[in-house]
Parts: sequence; structure tokens; C-alpha cells
Amino acid sequence: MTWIFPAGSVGTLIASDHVAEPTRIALQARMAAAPTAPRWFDAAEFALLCAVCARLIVDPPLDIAGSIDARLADGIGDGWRYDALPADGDAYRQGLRTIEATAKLVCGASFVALGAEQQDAVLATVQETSRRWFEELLAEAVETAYAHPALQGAIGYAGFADLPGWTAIGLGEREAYEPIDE
Amino acid sequence: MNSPAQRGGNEEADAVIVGSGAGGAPLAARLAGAGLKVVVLEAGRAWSPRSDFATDEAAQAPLFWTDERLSAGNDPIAFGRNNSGIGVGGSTLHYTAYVPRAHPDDFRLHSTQGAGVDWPIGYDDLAPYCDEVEAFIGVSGPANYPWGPPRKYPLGPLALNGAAQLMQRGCDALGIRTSPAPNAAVSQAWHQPGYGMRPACTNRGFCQAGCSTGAKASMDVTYLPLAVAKGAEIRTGAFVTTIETNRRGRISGVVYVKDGVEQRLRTANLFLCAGAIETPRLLLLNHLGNASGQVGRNFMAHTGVQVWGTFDETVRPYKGIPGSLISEDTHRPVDADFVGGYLLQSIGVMPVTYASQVARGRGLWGTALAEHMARYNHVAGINILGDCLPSPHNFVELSDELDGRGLPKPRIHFTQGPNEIAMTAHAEALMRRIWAAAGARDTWAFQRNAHIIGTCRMGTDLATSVVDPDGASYDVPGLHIADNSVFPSALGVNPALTIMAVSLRIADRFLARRSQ
Repeated sequence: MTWIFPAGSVGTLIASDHVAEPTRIALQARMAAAPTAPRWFDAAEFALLCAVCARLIVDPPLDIAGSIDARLADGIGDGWRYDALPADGDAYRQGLRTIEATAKLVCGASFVALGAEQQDAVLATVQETSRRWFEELLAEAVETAYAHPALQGAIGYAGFADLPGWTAIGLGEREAYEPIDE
Repeated sequence: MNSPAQRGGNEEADAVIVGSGAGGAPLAARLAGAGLKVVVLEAGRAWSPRSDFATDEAAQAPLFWTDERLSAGNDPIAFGRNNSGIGVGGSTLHYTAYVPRAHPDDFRLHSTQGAGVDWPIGYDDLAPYCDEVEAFIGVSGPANYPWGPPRKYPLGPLALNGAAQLMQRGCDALGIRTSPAPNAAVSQAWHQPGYGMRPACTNRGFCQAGCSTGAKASMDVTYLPLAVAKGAEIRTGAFVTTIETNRRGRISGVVYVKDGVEQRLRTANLFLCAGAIETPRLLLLNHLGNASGQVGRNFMAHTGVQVWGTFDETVRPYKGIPGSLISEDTHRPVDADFVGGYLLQSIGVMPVTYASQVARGRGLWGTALAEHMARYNHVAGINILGDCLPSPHNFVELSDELDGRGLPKPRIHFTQGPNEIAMTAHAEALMRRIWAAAGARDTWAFQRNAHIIGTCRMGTDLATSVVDPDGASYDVPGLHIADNSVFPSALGVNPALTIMAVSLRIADRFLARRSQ
């Protein structure tokens, strides 16, 4: 499925009068965000996290690992964690060590040195063995990715076009500025 | 906690209310309307929705309570955006505004079905308050609601969105009755006393991340402006840490932290309305009101399994009020192997929430995730909202891990019992049949529990209850609780309307006692 925006692109719709100012400011800031140097992870941990995220999210339009690192460095949480897991930052370090150990055990090499298929096999194993942490990692990667307008546009989402509101809300109904499936 | 300079030691209020959500706000309006000097202490900030709220899930994260909670048990509860708000208006800032009434038999589960507990008050005690709330906040709903005692919604129903039409199709095929849902978002412009005009809902679909227009009846556009018009003060950024009592054991005041400074506010009448985690946490921190040993006990979370399907038609699930259609034919299913029941609700969904659930619920990533998300615009959901029995295994306690405020993090134990498991299985099977009849493919279930309930039970027996049927503490004169903490059982409907009704009743009972 390829979603075509009548405005030309998701970015053009965001810049239009169909988007209220607070919404536009939030989305454009996210689109303009540059990758950041790691503050929480060391270089090896961060390189590993980058390689992991590249398998979790296809063609990410943003720096997912950098976003996770920034959150952990700033001590921001989402209001809860599994009691069975340590604090988020420690859980990430521990989980990354598990991925690396699994790569060496199963494939005999560091995760970052493996090909895509072997990396996927390692991640599938860790998804089974470290179920709760992998779920947390995956949820954060996915939430970060699908908050980006490029990925939202790719799935045909136009909910950010909040002005003047929707009247064509029934099954199969579409406003003129909503994307079309080509 | 550190003890910086204290200020305001001589300031006094007739009533202090902790929390400004569905529990605290109606109470504040009622007490202020009776001429009391009322101060509402709200941990979060005030918002100007039109200029502050973005139609963007990530940008709206500040609406959620993010002080970390530890989720334990076999079915650990997600907090934050799942069920816990902060800011003027509390969790009503992000509630879906789905406001069905509890049924008379929900309050008498033990009498009628031999399990769970009865409430010390019944439907007839709350019905006049439900009438009042619906008429005041502007509930949109059908002229003739098919289930339960008669009621009159002041506004016609909101339009059905794609998910609602699909659920209607599936239910029609199976002979299940449906109706446009009662929603606390106005279908026409509405004059709100104390606030002004609230415009008709624009179908922005963002109820769960903040209404930017005022169409949704969150407390910041309904009961709180009325409370302020009647003279109440809402103090923001005020996090209560200490409850003070005098030599006779009566409430004498509270200490709260605002801008890093401890402040004291004297009062003889304290109302805790901080929700079913923070209310018991505050009592446990202060070793207060717990002679029964019941503070924090019987934590409940509604059964809330969702079933998602992919359809040939384009749904565009981001439009329209998320909970557009309802069925309560499952209130007491004839083939039930459980007590109590549930309602069915059609659901739209925003992309980050949906993607997150696909990740957690199906474990999809990489190409499989991308392929599933490519069909986002063809996805529709149904979920249930079902009763949850109180259980001694489910409770809130203080952990020995400190949060950013230097206070012990709460640990919440939750494990579904046999009744919740049987109800969920019944509901999942039924929703799968509905979606099959509606033409769904790739149907999948997301297991979840919604809403935080219980932990400071209301009852007639002081040995097993924290507060009496009027919300007054059995142990501490002047201490009251008026939020979802006092619910003895979860009820088979969304809690907001009942919380507001209970809040108004507790206010009236307090005023009646006071005038004696």
C-alpha cells in the first residue's frame, strides 16, 4: 500500500491550514530533530542498540537509539515499569548484554558483525528468553518510530489535520485532503 | 523528605480537596456552592487546551502521571497513559468520555450472584446524581437507551464512525443489539455554567490525549470553572506529602510541596480525590486511616480485552469519538460461566497507540510490523469493559525504592482471578464472532486491564472498610475520600460517571452532617 497525499506530501499537509499551530510546531520539530551523541550508553552499547533498532524498524526516518538514550539520560519514564525488571537504564544495559552474549553463543560473533538474517535470529531468541525487557525495548522503538510524521504518512494517517475537524467519518468516507491508497 | 522553609502556616480553608479529577471537581463545586472556603490542591499544571494541546500523541505525554509505579503480579497493570492523569482536570483530560451508567444489579453483585461484594449504597441513591451530572456536563446519547433504567440524555448522539459501523454490521448479523454510546462530548454547542460556550465535537478523535476544543466534558471545562465561579481556589503544582492531625486525632491540615517549597494549609476537613493509587499511597505514607488494615487492599482493574480486525473497507480509525457504539446485551450473558458482565464498545485508535499494542500484544517487528502497520487505515477494534471482583491478592503497597520526589514508589499487585479469566475468554470469543460476521481478516486480541479502582473500600462494617457510606473515614474525624478508591467493586461500566455521582453524594452528605 502506498498512500498519496493530495497536498503533495505529509509535510505539505502539516504546513497547511488544516493543521493547528500547536500540532504543527510539535510535528515540524520532530521532523527537524538531528541525531544526538549518546549520553547514557557507552560507545559500544550505543552501536549495539543502533544495530538492534535497525532490525526492529524498517528504514527508520529518525534516530531511534538516540531518542532512547536521551530519555534514559534525562531520567524520563512513562509512569510504570514491570516490577520484575530493574530501573529502565539498568534494564537496557542488561538486555543489551544479553543480546551480545546470545550473538556470540549462537553465531560466534558480535551482534554488530552479523548479517541481517543472523541478527534477526538472535533477536527472535532474545524475544523468547528476555520476554519482558524485549517487549519494553520493542514498544519504545515502535512508539518512537510511529510518532514521526514520515512513518505516519507512510501508513496513510492524517489525524494531525485537526482543522476544521472531520465530517466524513463513516466507513470508506474521506475528506478531500486525506490520503488515498494508490 | 527534606524540610525546606515552610510557608503559609496560618492559612486555613473550610475544606481542602486533593486532586482535581472526576472525584475532586464535582465535590469542589458543590462545597464552594454551599459557601465553604474550598482549596483544591492539584499536583499538575493548568492547561489552555486550544493553544497548548497538539493533535499528536507524543506531544501530549505531559497529560499523564509519570511518577514511576512498580507493576507486579501475573497480570501487571500498565499505568501512565493507560489510566492515570495529572493536571487540572485529572484523568478526565484523557478519558474517552464514555459514560454509561452502572446497572442496579452491579451494586448488588453478592446478593444477586453470590460473589464479590454489595455496595453499601445502591443505584437509587446514585440515580439522581447521574441525572444531575448528565444534564450538567452535556452527555450526548440516544433518545431511547436500550438497557437499564430509563434516563434522558440532554443531547442527541454523536455520529457513528467507521469502526462503529463495522461493529453494528457484525452485531446485526448475530442478533446483538447496539446503540450509539452515551458520550460526554457535546453533539451541539453547549452553554456551560461558569465556563461559557463549548463548541460541538469536531470528531477530532483525540479524547484520549486531550480535547483541544472544550467539546469533551473534562473537569477543566465543567465542574472546575463552576467551582471557581463559586469561590473555590485551584492551587496547581501542589503535591501533598503530609496529612496533619491534632491532639484529638482530628484532621488539622496538610503539607504540600510547591515549587520545591513545603507549605502548610490548615483545615478541619480533608477530601482525598487523588485516585486509587495516590489516595491509598498518601494514607500509607502518613500511617493514617488504616485501623481496618484495608488501605491499599482490593485493587481492581476492569477487564478490557480488545479484538482488532482488518477490513477491505477504509476505516481511517483516527476520526470520530473513539468509543462511538455500545452494546450492553452482555451485561448478564445467559451462557456466562462467570458472575457480573461487561459491555461492548467500538474503538478507533491513533497510530502510536496501535503500533505499541501490536508490538506488545503480537510481538511483531521488522518487516512483519511494517506490513501490518501499512494496513492501519483498514483496522477497527471492539473492546469490553467488564467487572472485576475484589481480591485480597490484588493490592497497593509502598516499595523501598524512592522516586524523584524522595517518596517510596507504590508497588501494585494484580493477577486476574478465575472470574476475570472466564469473562475475558467469553468476551474474546464473542468479539471474534462479531468481527468474522463483519468481514474481518487477521483478527487478533490484545489483553489488557483498564481503570484503577478500589483500595479504600466504602462499607458499613468498620472492620472491613476504610470509609463509611458517606465517604468519611472510620478512624480519623475530618478525613474523607471521594474518588474511585472507595468503590467496593468495579462495576461493569466505565467509572467516570459513577465517580462524579459518588462525589456529589459525598458532598451532600457532608453538608447535611455539617448543618446538623
